Order: sequence, then C-alpha cells, then structure tokens
Amino acid sequence: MKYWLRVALVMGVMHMTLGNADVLAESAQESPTPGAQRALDNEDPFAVLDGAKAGNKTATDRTVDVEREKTGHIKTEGSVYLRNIQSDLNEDLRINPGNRVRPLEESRNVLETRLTLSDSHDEARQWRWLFKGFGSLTSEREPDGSLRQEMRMDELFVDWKGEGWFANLGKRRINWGHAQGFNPVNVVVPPRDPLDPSRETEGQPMLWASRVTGPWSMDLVLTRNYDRAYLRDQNRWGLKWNFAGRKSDYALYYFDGERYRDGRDHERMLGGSFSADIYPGITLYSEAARFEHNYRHYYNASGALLPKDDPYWQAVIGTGLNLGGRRQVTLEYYSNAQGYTPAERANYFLAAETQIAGGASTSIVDEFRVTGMNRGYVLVGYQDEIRERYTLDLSALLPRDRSYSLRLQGKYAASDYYELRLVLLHNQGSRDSEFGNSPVSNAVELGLSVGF
Amino acid sequence: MQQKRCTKRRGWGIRAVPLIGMLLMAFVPLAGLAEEITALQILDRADDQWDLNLRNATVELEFLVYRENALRKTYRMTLKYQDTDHVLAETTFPPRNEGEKMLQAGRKNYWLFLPNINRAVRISESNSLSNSDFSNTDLLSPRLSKEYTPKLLGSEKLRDEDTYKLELSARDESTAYARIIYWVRKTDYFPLRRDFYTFSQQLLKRLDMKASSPAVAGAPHGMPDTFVMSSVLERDKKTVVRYVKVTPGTGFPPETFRESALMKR
Repeated sequence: MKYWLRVALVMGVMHMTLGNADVLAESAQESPTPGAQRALDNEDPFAVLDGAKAGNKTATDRTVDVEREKTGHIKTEGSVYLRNIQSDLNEDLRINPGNRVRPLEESRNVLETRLTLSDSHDEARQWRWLFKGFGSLTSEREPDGSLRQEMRMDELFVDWKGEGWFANLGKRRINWGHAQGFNPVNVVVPPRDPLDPSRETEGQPMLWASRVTGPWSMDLVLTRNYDRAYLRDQNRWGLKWNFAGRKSDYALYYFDGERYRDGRDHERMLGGSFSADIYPGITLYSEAARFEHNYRHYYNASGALLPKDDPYWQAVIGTGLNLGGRRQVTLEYYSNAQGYTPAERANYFLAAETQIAGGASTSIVDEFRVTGMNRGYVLVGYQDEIRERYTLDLSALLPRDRSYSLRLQGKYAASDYYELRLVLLHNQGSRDSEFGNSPVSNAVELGLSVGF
Repeated sequence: MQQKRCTKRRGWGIRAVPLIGMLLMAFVPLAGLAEEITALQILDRADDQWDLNLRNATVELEFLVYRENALRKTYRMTLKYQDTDHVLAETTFPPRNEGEKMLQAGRKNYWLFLPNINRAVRISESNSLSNSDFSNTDLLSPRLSKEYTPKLLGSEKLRDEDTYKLELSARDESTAYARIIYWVRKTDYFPLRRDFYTFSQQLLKRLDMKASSPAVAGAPHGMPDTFVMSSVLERDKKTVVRYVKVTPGTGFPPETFRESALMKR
C-alpha cells in the first residue's frame, strides 16, 4: 500500500510539474532584447534560402519524385536493420533455472529487413494493393545447427474507397483503441509490447468494411482465429462504432466468434474507449474491455489447476502531455483482472518449479505472460527529439509486485537515410516477481538502420 | 445683391457650426465601427490570398529546418487543403518519417498519425509541426479572423512597401497566440509578415511571406508560396516552408478529413 502511495505521489508531482512546464519554460526564457529584435528587423528573412547547402534536391527533382508517385508506378519503401545484442542472462529465475528450459545466448547478431510495395491502378486512386514483408536472420542456431531465420508477410491486401465507404480484403494490421501502451480492446491483431509498440507489425487476414457518415463511423471486421501458421478455421467477427467530436471522441467495440474445436465458447469482448483534449497539449484517454470467459490457468497451493471461468475486465487510463516540439510524456495505469494476485503468482511459480523438476513437460513456462503476472501496472514514457538528429525514448513499466523494467532507446540520424540506435534494457525484481523472472536482466543493443 | 448673398452664406455658415459639431459627435461611434470593419476587411482580404487560393488544392511542399544558419533537416509533404478547418498533411520524405500524417478534422481538432505504431493520436493546435518553428495552426489553418479580433494600428513601410499594420487580439485563451501583429501590403492586400506574441506579451516568432516570381507550378499569381518562420527567443532558428507544386481544383471526399480515415489511407 505504501509503495502505491509513493508511486501516486511521484506521478502527481510529475503531472503538476509537467502541466506547468510551458509556463515555467516561458518564464525561464529571457525576454528578447531590443537589440535581438532590431537585428531580426534588419535582416532579410529570405536570405537563408540563398545559403541552402548543396546536395538538396532542386524543385525540378522534387516534381519528378511527385510524378513518380502517381498511378502505374509501384511505390517502394524499405529498411534494413542490423543489430548486435549483448545480454546478461538471468539464470536464477524460477521458470528457466540455469538457462536450461529455454536456452538463450548472451550475444547475437540480427539482420532484419522490411519491404513495402503498393500501387493504385485507377486515376481516382479508389483501388490500391499493398504488400508488407518482414524477414530476419539471427546468429542463433536452431537445434539442427542451422541459423535461425524468419520470413513473414505482415500485410497483403487490396482496398477500395468510395464516397463514405471503405473496404479491405486481405491480411492487414488494424489497431483498435485509444491508449498508447496497453490496449485491452485491440483483439483483432496480435498484441503489442507496451515498452516498444512499434515492434509488432504483423496483421491478420480479414474482410473489413467501413461506413462513414458525418462524425459517425461503423467498422465491420470478419476474420479467422489467429495462428501464425494460418491453420485455424473458426470464424471471428467484430464491430466498431465510433463518434468523433471536436474535443473528444468515443468508440464502442464488440468482438465474438465461433466456438473452439473443444467446445468452449469464444471469449466475446465488449469494450469502449475515448480520448479527449482536456487542455492545450494534454490528452486524456481510457479503454475498458469486458471478456465473457477466462480460460487462463490458475493454480492452487498444491500446484493443481484451478479453473476460473468468470467474466473479467481489463481497463486502462492514461494521459499524453506534449511539452513542445516532439517532447512528450505518457502516463498509463493498466488494470488487468485476468492477472495473478500475489497468492496466485506464488502458486504459479511453485507449480512451475514442480513441473520443471519433474522434467516430463515444461509447458507451464509458456503461461508466463509479461503484463499478465500482476493485476496492476504503471507505464511511464518520455520521448524527445534533440537538435533534430537525436531521438530519445525512455519507458518504465512498474507492476504491483515492485519489480520493474526500464528501456532506454537513443537514435542518431546520421543522414536522411542512415540511423544509429542504442537500446538499453534493465529488468529487476525478486524471485517471486514478474520482471525478476525475466530471462534477461540487462541487454545492450547497438544497431544501424538504413531506410530507402 | 452679390454682397447680400455673400453675407447670407457667411451667416448660414456660422449657424451651421454647432449643427455640424453635433452631427460629428453623433457619428463618432460609427466612425469607430467603420475602422473595425475596415480592419476586418483588410484581414479577410489578406487571408483570402492564402486561404482561398489553396481551397480544394493539393500542394507539394518542402519543409526546411535551419539551425545556426545551417540546413539541419528537410521534410517533404503533401498538403490536401479543403478549407481552413479541413487539412491533411502527409510526410513523404525522409524515409523514417514517411507516412506520418497531420490532420485538422475541424476547428481546433488536430490529429497525428504515426505509421510505425499504426495509430492516430490527438494533438494540440499549438504543438510544433515536426519539431520546427511552425506550430500546427501556423501551416494548417491560415485564416485568422475566426480566432482573432483585428484593429488597424496605421500604415507602415515594410521592405519598401506601403503596408497596413493590424493588431489581432485573441478572442479567448484557448487560441495559440495572445496577439499577432500583421503587415498587409496596401496595393493588393498581400500578407507580408506576422509577429506572434505569447500571453505574457513576449514576441515569440515571426513569419515572413512572399510569392515567387515566376509563380510555383500550378499556383495562382500572387499567392504566398514561401514562408520563413524565425524564432525571436532563439537566434538563428528558422524554418522555411516552400510550395513546390500546386494542383488546384482537387475534389476531396469528406471522409478524407476524418480521424477514422487515417488508418485506412
């Protein structure tokens, strides 16, 4: 309780400080001296254009680029990302003792490529197709000794837009909800990592139809249950209803589907979300979802399965504070009623140790879920761009069990096409906590990204 | 006879003085009103040069961020401009920002779409546009008469041109700037300069505008197409917006300017 009081106090102080940041910054700045203003009065404001450095494209070059983006020319975007990751493995954790159950390597190199191709085939640009592919090759070895690699088609679809109508057929990523880190209502596509939401880019095969009338919009989604091998065949469907006002907007969601093959009903989600501009530079948002069934495994003190098939809620409330430019602070609180209570978490670890010691099966390890081992989480994020070339992204995830995960990402744009990245990750907590059982305690990632 | 007429006229004139004085006093408030209307007309005509020429147009523009008088960053954007309240700006260069969209979906209703997380987030009108010296409202919403009350301060020479000098006061505190001083060329109501002041009455930044000669491809003659925003508080910080190509008469379906369309395309 005291811990949560401290967190609330720190957040309150941060909120007050940041909310007044513009005022503080303004008062801290010196008034422009009459000399400074006179100098500005005397200079030719357009002289800066004459001194534009060589190497910039001329207006003619740019017009050619614009022409190239017209129909009949495939638009290409892509990136290559080469990175080296050095990790301190956490060998003391209860679900992977001695790094034996899920062996990891301390150092690995990863090469990732992403490619997007798209084109429209009519002058009105009503029809479009798009392909987005992902491929990776790592220095880690498979059990057969080959290098681990992955080729994935993130998106492949055809879409059409008409007067107030929109339709899509194919694999595509759509994100439901308003929150930045945690998205309980985002159930159509694979979920994202709240510490690095940009990592998950894979979509879901779907038929998506949308109708927009004034401030109202209605989206209908027909899809199949998610599986990386696309072998599942149960139908799923979803409906989103949205109202967009000037200062706030609201959405309701419904997602349901056919029964599972073993006869269980689909979880069925009913949710809502909103975002509102509450003050210049401050946005408040919230999401809540109610799931009809809970098929997660819980354990009793003796390690036996304890079914708990009750409806449950997941909800998030957060705020985004813009402090000028690209400087942004995000605060979120996530409540997950599907998560474990302290007793349930302790029982889970005991059950996992028992199963691992038995050696017959280690499937219980797969039930360890980041942002699912607790019932409450605080996410704090800070983003900034410094001197137009440096980007800083700091995020912290604080579960109720007093463990934590910190992630710091710095980017340096060497040119318009090349970017260097440094990512530091630190996980800490007791042996009974969520991040205390993270397979990696520290990681340093250094990478070079090339965009074209 | 001639003498008599003259005398009579003088007598009538003397008697008329108090009457004229009373009439003048009666019309003093109307004269003030006439000045206000004139200031509003000047403001509207100046904003027409920018806003009306852009209506239903697609604009390819470049965005040059200068720091310490050196070009630090170049963006390219496509602007879909329906009217002063409905504008969509999409970044097309550099590759790492490609696909970012800035939407004004109505008065003071701004959205930013980030393609790397495939998500649209609400932003404020006073947020900086791509970390430049422009705020969202500076570029996306050029018409000022909805947010500010104009007052004619007089005439002034600016860059050797005769100009009207207007003072614009914010109608309420939700507006991005407390006060704007606006210089408008007398001959054709071309907007030459805007000085932006904070609510603490500090001069924050200055926007200078000009029309290229010859005009940018597709742009009507006399339309402002080059904009230089200079920071006053920090010297040698400038951002230039330069139109490269204007395609007028582009019809946009209404859903183009809806937040829900950002994720679709």
